[in-house]
Amino acid sequence: MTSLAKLKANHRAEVVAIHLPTEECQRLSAFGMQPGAQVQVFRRAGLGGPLHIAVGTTQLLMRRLLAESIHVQLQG
Amino acid sequence: MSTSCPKCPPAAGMPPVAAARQARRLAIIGLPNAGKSTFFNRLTGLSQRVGNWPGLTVELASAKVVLGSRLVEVVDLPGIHDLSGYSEDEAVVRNVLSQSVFDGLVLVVNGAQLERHWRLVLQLSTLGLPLLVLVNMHDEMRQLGIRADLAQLSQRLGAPVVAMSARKGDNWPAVRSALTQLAEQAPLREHACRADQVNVPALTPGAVEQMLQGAYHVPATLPITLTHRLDQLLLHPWLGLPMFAVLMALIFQATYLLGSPLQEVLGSGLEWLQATLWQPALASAPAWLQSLLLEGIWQGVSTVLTFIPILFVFFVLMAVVEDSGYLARAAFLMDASMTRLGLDGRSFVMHLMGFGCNVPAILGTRIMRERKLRLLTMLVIPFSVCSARLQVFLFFVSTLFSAQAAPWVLLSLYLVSFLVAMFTAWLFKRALPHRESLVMEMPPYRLPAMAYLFTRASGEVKAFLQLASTFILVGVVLIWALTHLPMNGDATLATRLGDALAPVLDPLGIRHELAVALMVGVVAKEILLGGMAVIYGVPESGLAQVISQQLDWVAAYSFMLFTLIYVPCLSTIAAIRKESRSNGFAALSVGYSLLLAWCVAGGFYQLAHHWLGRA
Repeated sequence: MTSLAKLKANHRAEVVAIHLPTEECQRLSAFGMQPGAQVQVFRRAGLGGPLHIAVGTTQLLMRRLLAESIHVQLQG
Repeated sequence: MSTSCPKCPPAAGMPPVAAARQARRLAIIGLPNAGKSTFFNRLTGLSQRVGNWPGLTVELASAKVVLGSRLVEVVDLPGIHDLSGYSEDEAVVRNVLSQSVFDGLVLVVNGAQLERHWRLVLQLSTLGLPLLVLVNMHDEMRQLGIRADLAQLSQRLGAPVVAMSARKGDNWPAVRSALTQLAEQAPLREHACRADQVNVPALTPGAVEQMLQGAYHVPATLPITLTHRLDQLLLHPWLGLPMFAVLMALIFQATYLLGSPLQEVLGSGLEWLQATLWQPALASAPAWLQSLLLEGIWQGVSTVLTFIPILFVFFVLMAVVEDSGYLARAAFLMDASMTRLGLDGRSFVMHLMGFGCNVPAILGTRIMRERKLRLLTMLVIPFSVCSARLQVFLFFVSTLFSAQAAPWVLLSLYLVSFLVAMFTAWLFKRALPHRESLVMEMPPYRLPAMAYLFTRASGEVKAFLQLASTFILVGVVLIWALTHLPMNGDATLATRLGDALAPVLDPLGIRHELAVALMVGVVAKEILLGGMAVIYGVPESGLAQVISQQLDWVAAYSFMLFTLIYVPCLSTIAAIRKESRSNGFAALSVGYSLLLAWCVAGGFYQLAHHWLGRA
């Protein structure tokens, strides 16, 4: 298990847990980001910038700080 | 009706019974990027109007459309993710739904992301209002191989579910007839009142999946789309940023290439109007009235009117950038560097826009949700050298500097503009802390719906003029009074104020005449040079000679620094006040920029004199 922030480009993973306050979790789940969701990292911006990820059919820009709280299980 | 429903407030200030007989009212709701506004524009065209919502301090776009035999008022609510969410927009939607009467809700959802959007559908179905679900982006669903059994979904939900493409107009007749049916339903005022209690019950986990089960199918691996390929190029680790810079430069150029000639045409048209209509009409009026109306009100108001073409072109181009999906990419590219200044990627886009004109850039901060981030961005934008200030600089630089030095002087002013903006962001980022957990959708690239760019841009311009009009009128009258009163030949108020300001402005090397010019420049930098001509009592063409006799380069550079940093114009202040909804914040922006202008120009003048004096 690793954090979404550490996931390498083009790897797929499943969200296992999100360690954030309820309010934040609710906001994320509106973007489809919740336990059980399939995620993929497309690219990472330079200089510690945000991640470009996909959750299901939705593509998101997400700051790394936020992605660190999202725990994922790598898939093949 | 009012007795049967005591909780139900009257609609828009009407007695409830009258309200019931009035036009039906539908609300359009959906997630951001679901295509809600495109749908609203297609449905309402130019008839839409942005105005204050009764009882709430929010502005909503609404329009009256004829559906079947009825006149129906359609209201566009802000895009929300979650009816029980905590954001400003989500609170607005809850307030509007609970305090106003609606006869039905129209939900626009993105068919390619139905699992994510269906939660809002279920939440809204608990309100008891008649629903219509419009499954948008039908074309994108097909491309991705997504299948949906809408008849099945409609049966499970107990409300009509209709496919469409708002951008292309696919299936439009069916959409209209579904809307008509929704509006034709018997008056449902008791139902409408149920929205009074917008406390959304928590959805049982899996409720969305359960309803979509078997009726909605997304392929396990999605095909590689054009968006993937474009992103590989536009978000390239090395090429992404240079391409972004080129694109921004193109927009900036296009705004001027298209807007400036139109501005000139409009300007000369307004001058013609003054010469052929107003002047003869006012010939017999007393001199003070002529002066007030022509040199004061008309001069000021027509200067503002000449902004319209540039604003319009800018809004069209911004709508293209926004609708195409590129804005989210620009934010991705710039976010890392802007975070260090307490801003984010979108702030940078708006700051660049400010180099064209500050006003639309301020209005453009609306794309940010976090209020404090918007405020910080609004503080920074006025330091972008807009075209009007550029015009002033070009005049001074070409009058007082050699042809070799001129471009470097100009470049130095742009550099100062960036430094001042960065300093301001750095200074205020602690005072305006905002939660940095930015997450936003990166929608697929889409061709903007060309026909509605025009609708949207004219709507924006109209909204700006509505608000700015009173503010600007007061401003121009005030400045006319300063520069023209008393009319008995004694020193005018402006001259006296110039004298009074001498202790403040002398350390900056700014003479009295120029101090008055700075006051005129508060209205708009476009009239600063014209104002100087009046003050020095020479025609605008003879101004260069006078200036080169009266000023040395140090004083001129100090004056330019002050012009660069202090209040851009009344229109910008009006825009800041409108967007921040706070007089205090607008005052802070003005006060801070004046103080900073004084410090920077004074620091430069004193240091330069000290240094030159010793050399």
